[in-house]
Amino acid sequence: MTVDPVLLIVIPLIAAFLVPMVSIFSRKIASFIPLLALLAMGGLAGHLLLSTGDTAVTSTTGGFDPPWGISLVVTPLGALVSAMMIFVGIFVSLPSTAKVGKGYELWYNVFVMMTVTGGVGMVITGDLFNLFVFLEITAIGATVLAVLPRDGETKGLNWRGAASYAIISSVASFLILAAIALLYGATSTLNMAQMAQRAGDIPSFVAGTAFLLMFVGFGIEAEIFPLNGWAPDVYRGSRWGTASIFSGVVGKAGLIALLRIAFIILGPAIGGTFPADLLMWAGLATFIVGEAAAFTSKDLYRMLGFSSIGAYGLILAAFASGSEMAIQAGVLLMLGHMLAKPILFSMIDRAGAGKRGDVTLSDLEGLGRRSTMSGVLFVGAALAMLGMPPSPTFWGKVMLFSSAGTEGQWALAVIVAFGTLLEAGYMGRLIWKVMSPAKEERKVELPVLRLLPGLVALGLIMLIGIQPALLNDVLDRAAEEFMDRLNYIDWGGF
Amino acid sequence: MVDILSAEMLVIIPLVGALISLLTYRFRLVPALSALLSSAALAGLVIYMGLNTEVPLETSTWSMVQGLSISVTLNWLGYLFLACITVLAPLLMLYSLEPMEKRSRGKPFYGLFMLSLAGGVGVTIAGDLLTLFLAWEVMTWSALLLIGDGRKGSSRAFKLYLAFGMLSAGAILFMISMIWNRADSLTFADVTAAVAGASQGYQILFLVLGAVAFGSKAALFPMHIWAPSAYAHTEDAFTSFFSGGLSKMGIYGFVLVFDVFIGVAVLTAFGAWNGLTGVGLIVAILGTITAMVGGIKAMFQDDAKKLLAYSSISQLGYIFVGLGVGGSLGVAGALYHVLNHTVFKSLLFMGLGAVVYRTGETRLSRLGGMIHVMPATFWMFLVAVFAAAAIPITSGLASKWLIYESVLERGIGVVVPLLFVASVSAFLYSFRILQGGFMGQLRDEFKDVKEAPITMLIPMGILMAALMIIGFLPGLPMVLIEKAMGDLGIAAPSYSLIELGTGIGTYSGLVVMLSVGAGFVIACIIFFGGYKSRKISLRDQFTGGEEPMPHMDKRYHYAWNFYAPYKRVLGPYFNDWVSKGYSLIYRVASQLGRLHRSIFNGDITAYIWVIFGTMVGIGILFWKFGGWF
Repeated sequence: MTVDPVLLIVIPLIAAFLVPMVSIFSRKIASFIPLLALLAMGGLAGHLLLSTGDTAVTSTTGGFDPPWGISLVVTPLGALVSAMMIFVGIFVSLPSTAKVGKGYELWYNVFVMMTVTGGVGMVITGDLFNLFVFLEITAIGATVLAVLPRDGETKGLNWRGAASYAIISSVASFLILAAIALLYGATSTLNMAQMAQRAGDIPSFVAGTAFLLMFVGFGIEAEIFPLNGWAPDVYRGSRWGTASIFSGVVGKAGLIALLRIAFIILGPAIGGTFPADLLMWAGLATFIVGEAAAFTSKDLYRMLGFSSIGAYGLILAAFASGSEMAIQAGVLLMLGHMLAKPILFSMIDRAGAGKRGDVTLSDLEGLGRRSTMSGVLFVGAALAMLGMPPSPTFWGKVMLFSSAGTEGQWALAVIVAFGTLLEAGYMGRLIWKVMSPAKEERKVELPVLRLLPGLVALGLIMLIGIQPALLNDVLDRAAEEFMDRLNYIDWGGF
Repeated sequence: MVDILSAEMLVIIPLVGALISLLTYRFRLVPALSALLSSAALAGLVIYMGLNTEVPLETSTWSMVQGLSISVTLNWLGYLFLACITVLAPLLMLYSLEPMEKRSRGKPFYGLFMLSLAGGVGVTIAGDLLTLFLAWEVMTWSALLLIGDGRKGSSRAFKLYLAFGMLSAGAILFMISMIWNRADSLTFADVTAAVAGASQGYQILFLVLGAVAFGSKAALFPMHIWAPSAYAHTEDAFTSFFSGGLSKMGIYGFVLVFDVFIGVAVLTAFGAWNGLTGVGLIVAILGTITAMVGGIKAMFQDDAKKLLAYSSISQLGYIFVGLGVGGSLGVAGALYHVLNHTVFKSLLFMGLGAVVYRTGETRLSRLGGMIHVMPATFWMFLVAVFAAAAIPITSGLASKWLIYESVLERGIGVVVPLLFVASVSAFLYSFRILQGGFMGQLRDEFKDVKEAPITMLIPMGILMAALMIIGFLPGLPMVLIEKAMGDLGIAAPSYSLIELGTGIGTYSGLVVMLSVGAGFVIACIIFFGGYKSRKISLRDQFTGGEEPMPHMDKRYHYAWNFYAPYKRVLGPYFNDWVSKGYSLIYRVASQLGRLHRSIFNGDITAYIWVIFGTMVGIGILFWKFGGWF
């Protein structure tokens, strides 16, 4: 028996309405609602991940078959990414649930749930306009998250980052909406599977224009260079949780949406290799610029933000380079990044606890001595980011290089190897500081609610690193989804 | 159930040991015992396999993800390197028992040590390039986390090691790419076939990448700059393993690329004279430069650990000379030196480690006279120094002799004189560390220093015995080397237990020992029969025939700025221009990285303009190349 994926949307929707009502009576109880909703969603997504065997789980709202009703198409990749997004959401809202009553914690939790819901919706929806709606939900949630001050503070709202993101993402929304209108005009449907089926009918001029608009619009969300100007401003002043959400949910959702539209609908409509080439080179440029910028950043949030940008670039390049193996490499790289990054942000927050403004390298000094588990988590996650085994990133890189060799994409291999060196440059600095002796013997407290998700994430990293074959099925389906649009059309019910 | 005598068992044992050590990291003694027992079990297994000729082992394969699989096997070539690290490991575990127990709790030393051992084992038993890479990375990061001893310079050591580790990883990944381009699997046989059938450009690129990937781990010039600081800034017990054991993995990888994947036939096609291939000549010259630079830099180090680290680089250079020259003598000499270097370099670092453990001092200008308080350590150290400087009664002479003869046989004019310079520098730095550390006058603060504990002396004694036994019986290691060379398809030079036959003549351990022994007896007769020596106090001293000025109530210690005249002459030529080159690259990268500030400048209007500019730019590209309109 499979559950209806629409519950993934309904549960947080109900929870969101419950919170303000319950909070009239008790803020404490209200604060648990988003977390419980996320946990329920996590269970659902896990169940969906296990039950999407060879095909996608679909659901139509209100019993109206597509194209009349909005449909959800949970592909195996979609289920995996949704589960990971929800995991990131749980990861970042667990610690603050215990602290509710102080500052903005309650609203933080609610908006984490909202952003995650938006991201999940973007990944599982089968309808282009619905995708837009979820994009808006994600953007609003993320904007609120971006403006919230760091833990325990009530002053120092991050106006600059939030304003950057709000304004730029509204530009993105406008462009995407325009593209959707163009596509609707050409195909008279909003259902993505049906649109893919009719891709041949789209005039190449319309398809090209829509692609351009979509690329820029979703490129902004997915932090693709040079559209990602807003990103460092957000990372720099935000909470660790917000930074994790931006690098694990907001951008990933934009990336998946961009890839799906480019590969399933617009790529075939435009024909030729230009769309894939553009995506690959944009990805590689993003990778190099992100890693180089991280290499020279002082504030650690900004550094890791750039590192996320680099990771987005690498993932995009992997997906866009076109071979089956490279797409699977992209999935593994994405997985590795979504598991490791929240740990790093969380530990940086511990190191800079009680500090106003930038968190720099010297704050990290001796973290491992001041709190053993923090050190273990940080070093483990940083090594995983670098692609040291056992980690999904290791297998992702091996597969990416293997595919580059098979396809003869030498430029890709050279650029990725070079960028990895830059990555080692700053990751090495971080690991060194964490492991070096502490100047001040001030203990770093690591609450259980912070430790637990970190350990789970590190455990998953190692599990997938040791036994990557667990993901074989999902990886196969992910490749099918992007390699041949007929699969998606079939899964979508046409 | 896994068969005990199988390749996977070789890696399971250290992994289990590592896991227990890591999990029990907070307890006293448990991690140490787990590491000691598991490494001893591993060493026992490896020795048993060797003695009962269980090699070659069957290949076991596991499929990992999407058609990628890892496989382990064992042949004699791998066994030679496997034996180096596995036999060394339990000795070092025993050695580190006492110092590590006394040390304040820091990193999970034993767990990481065992992990790096497991990585090393994995490298030697890998059956394909992917497995090799996997094990290689495990080895890299576990060793990385052990760098850093709280002294100044640790930070640089850590980052340099990581940078070169990633360079090496990138090169291996690129090699994997290249193989996939021409083959359907990464097994060594397929790699060889893929390389053999490829164009010359492909082969050269593959060779260069292999040299970067594996040469950097074995500190081949000009990728040696990480080694001195990395070796100098690890815990003493691990330094022995790092420099004596793990550096050999680089050599193993290099042998794989050079002699297995590429092979003599392909190398000869690039051009060869008198049996010497052009590529081999380049490797031999690089090796010679490595040997010379390492040796001469070692002479001028005040930090004893750094001195030994540079000496290690120098010795690895000899191995590259042997490999480059190739042929029966060259390869045999190189593999022989691999075994020798593992033993004597470990012993050197262990001896020094014992001194450091008792005194807490590594600077030669602050040590001196340790022979008075740590005589046993001194004698063992002395034997190791003899081996390093290729002085008879130890095994060191045999391997260097083979390498020299191989070079002479080919008549390479460039290499011979430089190699002799390197040899002379080996004498000079050996003398310096003996003189500065053990001879001379004991400082007051070290008057009550005790001899090294028995747990340190036993493993050192075992290594010393090995050096001397091989010195008498130079044919002993040849049994293994012959089998390893069989895997490479190269005939080993003829040998018996006490003699090594070369093209030019015969190296007889017995004759060498007898002549040295005779010389020793004559020296003893002169020493004891001639002028009577008398014991004098440490302050009864003269310089230049005059007593020091009365107010100079100080110990006379000349280890500071030793060899200053040589330094004045040689210094300018050995300026660290390689490091400077690398730091230039680093600075350029940083400068380029800083450019991001002009893009990500916090100005929202600018972001919007950039976005629209990008749109227009892509539109133009699209119109030009993508067929928009």
